[in-house]
This record gives sequence, structure tokens and C-alpha cells, in this order.
Amino acid sequence: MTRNTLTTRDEVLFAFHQACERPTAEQIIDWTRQYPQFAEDIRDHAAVARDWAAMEGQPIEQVDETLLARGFSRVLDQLYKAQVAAESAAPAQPKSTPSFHDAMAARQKNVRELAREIDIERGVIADLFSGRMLTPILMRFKKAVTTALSMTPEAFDEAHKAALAAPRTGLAKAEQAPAAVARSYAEIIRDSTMSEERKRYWLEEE
Amino acid sequence: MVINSDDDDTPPPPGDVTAWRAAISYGRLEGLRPEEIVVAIQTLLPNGDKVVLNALAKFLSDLMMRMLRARIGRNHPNEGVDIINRVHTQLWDAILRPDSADGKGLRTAFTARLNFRIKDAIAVEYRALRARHDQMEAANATPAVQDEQSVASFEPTVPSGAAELDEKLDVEDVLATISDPKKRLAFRLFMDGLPFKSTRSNSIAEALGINEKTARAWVAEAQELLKQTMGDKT
Repeated sequence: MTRNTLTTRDEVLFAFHQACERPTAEQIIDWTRQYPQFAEDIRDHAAVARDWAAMEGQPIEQVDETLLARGFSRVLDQLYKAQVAAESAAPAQPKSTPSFHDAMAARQKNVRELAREIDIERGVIADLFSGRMLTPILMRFKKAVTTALSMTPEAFDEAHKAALAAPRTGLAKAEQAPAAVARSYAEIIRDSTMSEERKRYWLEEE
Repeated sequence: MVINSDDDDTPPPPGDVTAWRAAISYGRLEGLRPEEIVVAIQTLLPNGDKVVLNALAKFLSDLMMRMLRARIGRNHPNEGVDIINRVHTQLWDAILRPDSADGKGLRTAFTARLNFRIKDAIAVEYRALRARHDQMEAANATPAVQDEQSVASFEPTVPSGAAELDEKLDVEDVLATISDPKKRLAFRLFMDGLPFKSTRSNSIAEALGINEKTARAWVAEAQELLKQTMGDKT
């Protein structure tokens, strides 16, 4: 920023501060002529600058622990207020998509009842609800779930997407940390303990 | 970026929490520019790693306090603590608002911006003190004729050198007893060899926006104080 483009008090005084570490009479006159609206401020700053210049080389005053501690305490308070302000200014979260669990609760059902209703192994439902079932999902299964839970296909897709985005872990084994391992629909069906006939049913399109 | 040594002067990337955590644990903050720490704090705000954020804030807060104390003497009200706290709070407000002028200034020219704010705070305080002083003087005003006579009868002489004024520190100690920094500036310009008033060159009166009579009175006030001090010492 050149001197000619300075407009505000802060801009002018900061530029003066940068340009004139030990202001001479000539510099003071020059700057007050160019910025008569800030002339008194420039003179006041010049006076302090000359005081500082005269004190160069003098021993530096040491700060005491109380001042440091109180200063940092205020900073922590300012940080906290900034965090609170940022949280309150953040845009409201969009209304969350109803999950499979929400849909099931709305129908006053549980996983066991739902599984029994559509005649499928409970673990398959649990994998779907917990984000451990990858797409594509066979239409037959999708239709069975949406019918039982009175969901639209779109609501099913949204709930499935949300489940995949936040998968829940399975039960931890003694030697392993719990992990959410997602598998394909077909793999889940094949690995289930259902009869071969039921597996075939759930693997075939209508 | 992971820092493995304690002699690496490369600043961690602003948002790299792991690298900043390492820099803190290796005690590397002293070797970094304060601008880099300001940028890191502004990048981590508002919800970055609190342990790292607080450690950076503590380091920067202490650094600022030391710089403030070094610049703001105990000759101010409450030994300068009020100004120190005011500027410290003002600058932290700016750091926490990265888009503000000082928020930007502190991450590009930290020391210059800090010193500027100190200077401004001192100047503003002096102006307020001057206004109060002027009010009190107006209330206790003496007849103008007498004032003019005393000023007119004074003819200051230009000191031939610093040696005549004893040690520099003694001079500054005396000048520090003059509450108005513009009066001190008048004396300093007088010591620079400036005339009180001139139509041909720069002058004390023109630089300070005052008339010749006031310029003479201000310089005389400082000289009188110095004479008294020198007299007391001999």
C-alpha cells in the first residue's frame, strides 16, 4: 500500500510507524501536511517513537509471573468464547435422514421380529442396519424390508447410505479390535446359516 | 509432516497437528517466527486439537507479555499494567478474528503490528491525560499577562553536547517526569538543533502544531527540570 492510498487512521499511523522509527522534524511536518486530519495522532505517535528511540540500549524490564498467568487466563477465556461463537454461527445441520432403526422403531418392531416377518436370518438385517452390507442389494430383499417398515425405496436408499457412512462395529473378538467389515449382499447371504433353499431364494431376483 | 529432531528450524505446516505437537514437545517454538505461530493458531481455530492450541496460545501470550512489559514502563498509571492488559486483550481478539486488520497484520509482521498497537495505546492514554490536565488548568487559570511575562523573560541556550547534560540516562529520567510526551518531543527537537520558529526552515512550532510561545515554554520547562537536577548533583 503506497502512501497515497492510505485512508484510515490505522493505515496512516501504521505506515508512519513503519517508515519513521525515529521521526525527525522534517518527517513529522511532511506526514502531518499530507494527512492533516490525523496530524495530532501523528505527533503523538512521533513523541512516543522518540521516547523509545532514546531508551534504546537500556535494560529491559522483566515481566512477572502474575502478569503472564493472568494474561494466559484471559486468552483461554477468549479462545473459549471464540469457539462458542463459531459453534453458534455454524449453519444448522440439515434434518437427518431417518435410519433403519428409526423406521423400525416407528413400526414398533425389533430386528428379531422384522427378520421373522420376512423370513430371513437376523444377522442379515443386522448387517444392513449397521452399515456392513455393500450395494448392490437384491430388489427382492429391498422390497421385503421397505414393505415391512413402510419405507419408500428412496428412504431405504438414504438410510442405507447413512448406515454405510457411519458403520457400527461387530462384536470384538478376544484377540482383535472390533471392526466394521462390510461385505456384499450376496456374500452375507451365502455366509449365513440359512438353509440352501432360503439362500437361493434371497439370491434370486423375482 | 513429522518432526524427528529438535534442531529443525522448518516451521510445521499450519494445520499439521502432529507436527506442531512434536515441535512443542521438542521445545522448538522459541526458534520459530511468531507469525508462524499466529498462522497455526488461526488455522487450528476454532475446534482444533485443544492441547496443541493451548500450548501455542500460552507460548504466544507469554511472548507478547514480555514485549509489552519491555515497551510499557512503570511511569504509566497502575505501573503500566492497565495498558499492557488492554493491548494484550485487543491483540488476542484480533488473532481470534483472522480477517480483521490486526489479525492479518500479526501473521505477516508480528513485531511491527504489536509495537504499533503499544505505541497507539500509549499515545491515546497521554492524550486522555492531557485533556484532563488542560481541564484542570482551565479551572485554575492564572491571569494571561503574568504567564506571558514569565515565558518572554526566558531565553534558553542550546546545550553544546550530551556531556553538559550528564549521563543520557539521567536526562531520560528527568524527561520521564514530564507527563506530556509532546513536551519531551519539543525538547528532543530542540536538542536536534531545530529553531523554535522559522520562516525559512523546519521548526519545533511547525512540527508540533503549536505557536512559538508554547514551544519556548515547553523547552524551558524541560531545561529548568534538568538544571535543577544537575544543580542537585553538583
